[in-house]
Amino acid sequence: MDVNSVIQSLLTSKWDATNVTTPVFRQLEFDATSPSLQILLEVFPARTTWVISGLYRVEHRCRITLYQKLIHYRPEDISGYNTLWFKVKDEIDRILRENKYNYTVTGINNIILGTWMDNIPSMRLGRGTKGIREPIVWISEQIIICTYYKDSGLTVS
Amino acid sequence: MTTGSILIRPKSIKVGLASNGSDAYEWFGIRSIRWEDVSPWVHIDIPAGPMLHQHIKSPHVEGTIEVTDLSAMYTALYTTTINNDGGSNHSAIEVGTARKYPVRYCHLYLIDQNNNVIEYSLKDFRVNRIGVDRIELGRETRYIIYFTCDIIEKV
Repeated sequence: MDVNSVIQSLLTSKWDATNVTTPVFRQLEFDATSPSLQILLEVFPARTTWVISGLYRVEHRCRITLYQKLIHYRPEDISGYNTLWFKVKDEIDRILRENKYNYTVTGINNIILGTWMDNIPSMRLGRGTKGIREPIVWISEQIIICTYYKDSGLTVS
Repeated sequence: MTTGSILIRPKSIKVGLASNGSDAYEWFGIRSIRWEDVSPWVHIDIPAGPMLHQHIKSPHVEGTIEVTDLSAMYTALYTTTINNDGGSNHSAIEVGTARKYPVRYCHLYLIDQNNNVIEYSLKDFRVNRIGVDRIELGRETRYIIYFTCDIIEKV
């Protein structure tokens, strides 16, 4: 299953632009042409567990990475970026939480939520550490697990 | 779409007088549901004789529902009209007296591995007992409803 596309269409269709600006969505590879606010979706190999003859349970991990490029470095700008940063994270969390068991999400039975892990060096830079070249990009990621069931091609018996 | 049929979680239970929107309440927040039917057989022991199994007891189903959402459970069982026999409206459990009444319409909705909704009808659903499974620090409290019904059929 193309879990990336399912999660991307879930996030884009449920994104509430009144909460926070809609970011750019990309799959598999960071797009350097849209660095200011980007969500990158990467899919990891799936883990498959036997359930009954002919039917398997699949746990498919998907990494959601948030990139935000800082354009101005004044304290008030950093503060604004910070607010935006947490709002975007909250919006992603809200959508995943509210649609965790949404049985209309194509093909997925359950989304096991992850936790955000900041790339600490990238986060520290925006608060004034010297000795690094511009531009500064904040990075944070979480890994969610999408579970669904798959035929093995054998007859259920 | 996979073949086979595996149930993976409960979705909701609809209780009321009939299936339509104003006469039924869709009860979400079900953590788990289990049931089993009872044995109708009674063994009659005859000393030094053959063992007789007689189909004496009436078949029915007994089960439990575990929920965490107290307000949804209260609405479903204590305030939703589920029976109007005798000209007065009753809820499954009457507030104040704890009298219990058979639920005229009770359907259970489950989700299978293809995200299809599977519907079961619980004929003559009745609450036996209701209780709280331990109010404990650091754990979501669960309420347990012990129920009985005549038969459970797939719709």
